[in-house]
Formats: sequence, C-alpha cells, structure tokens
Amino acid sequence: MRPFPIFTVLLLLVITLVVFVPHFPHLVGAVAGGAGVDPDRALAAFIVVMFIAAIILSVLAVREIYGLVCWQVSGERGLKRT
Amino acid sequence: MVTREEIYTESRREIVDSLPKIIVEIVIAFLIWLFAVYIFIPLAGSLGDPTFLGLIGLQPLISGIVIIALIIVFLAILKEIIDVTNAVAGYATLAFSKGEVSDDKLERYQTGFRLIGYVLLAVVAYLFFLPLIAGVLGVLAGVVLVLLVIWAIIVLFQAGRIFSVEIEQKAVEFSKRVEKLKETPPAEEKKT
Repeated sequence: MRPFPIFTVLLLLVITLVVFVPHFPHLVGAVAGGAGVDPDRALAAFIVVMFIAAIILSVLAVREIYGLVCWQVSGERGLKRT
Repeated sequence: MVTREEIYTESRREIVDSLPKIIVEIVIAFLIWLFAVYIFIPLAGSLGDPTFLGLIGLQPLISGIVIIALIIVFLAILKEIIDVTNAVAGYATLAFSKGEVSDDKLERYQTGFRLIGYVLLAVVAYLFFLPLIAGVLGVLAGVVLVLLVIWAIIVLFQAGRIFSVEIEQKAVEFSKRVEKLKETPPAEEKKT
C-alpha cells in the first residue's frame, strides 16, 4: 500500500493557518478575550507555536518525501525485474 | 598499505550512503530558512505588539529558534561531509597513485579534502545564517564574516600545504621526464 504523506499535509496546513489567521484577528481576539490575554500577544504566541510546529514538520515532511521516493524507486526496480 | 580495491569499495559505499543524507539535510535547512525568512519574521514584524508575552521581541526570538534549528541540521551535515570528503579523497588517491596506497598518503589526502569541505560548509552555513544573525544583532553578521574569512584563509593555506607535497613530487617527475626527452635524440635525426 502506498504510504500517505501525512506530515507534508500537516505542514501545508500549519503554513496556511499562519498566513491566514493574522488576516482575521477577530478569530484570535475572541479566544484571547475569553482567556483574558491581549489579542496581539495571543497572536504572537500563536505564531511562535506554529513556527516550532513548522520546523518539526519540515524535518518530518522532507524525510517522508525521501522515503516515498525511495519506496517508488525500489517498487519500479522490482517491477523491472519481474 | 591499503589495496586499491578496498579504497574503491569504501569510497563508493560512503558516497552512496552519505550523499542522499546531505541532500535531505540541506533541503530541510532550506525549508526552515525559507519559512522563517519569508513567512514568520515578516509576520512577526507586522504585529501591533511584536513581543512574546511581553518578555522578548518576536523577531529576535524567531531568529534565535531558527539559528538553533539550523545549527543542529548543519552539525548533522558536517558528519556526512566528513564521510563524503574521505570518499572523494579515496578516489583522488586512486587517480594519482599506482599500485597499493600507503595509509599515510591516504590520510594526507583525507585531511586536505576534509579541510576544503569544512570551508565550503562554513560558507554555505554563513549564507543561511546571515539574515538571521542580522535579525538578532546587525553588527554580529559583519564580525562573523571577518572571522570566517580569516579562518577560511588559514584552513585553505593548511590544505594547500598538504597538497603541495604531492604537487612537488609530480613536478619533479615531470621535470625528470622532460630531461630524459632532451637527452634522447629524436628518431628522425638518427635515421639521417
């Protein structure tokens, strides 16, 4: 069965969230208001957390893609032999 | 003494093992750098209160996190670079020697290529770190560049000295060959 690139999808999701959420501050503002934190500070914390997640997911995604390429190449070699 | 077959097999194994790892690590470093420099740092600058919970500026914090992440990645690359330079040194030794190769000669070649590899990696690493160091402390980027240039000159000088022995030997062999050619008269003159 072909492995699904879950980390690559998650990385795209994180990047999309980081790009879109600051454009709609009321989304964070509602959560921050509930927690009693300044919306800008909540947004800053969100960006830092997402950045750390992006670093970890970058490592995992590249290794996953490398694994997929290896899997594909070895599969094609096996097909050629048969 | 090491046989040519042993050097060839070992070099080939190291190249096959380490080169894909280096490519993967560089892609990881590039991806982290790309996200940091083009997405997160500009985003941090665009906030009304660009601090992390009022404790530290967001841009220096992100630059610091990226610097730590890139240092970890480049340390992993360094390990593989040593393997690849050893392999390249093995191939070079095979190309410039006949028969069995002495351990001393192989080690000399490995040291020379390793030093060149260190300089190349340091230059690439500096290019990655430059916008991040400038983000934390602008003056530091210039200081690091000056130190890097001085270090690179010293290291390349050492590498040159290692290879100068080989170049000297080749030059002596070449001059001996030229002298022999001068001593033996051309074949056409003999006929006449």
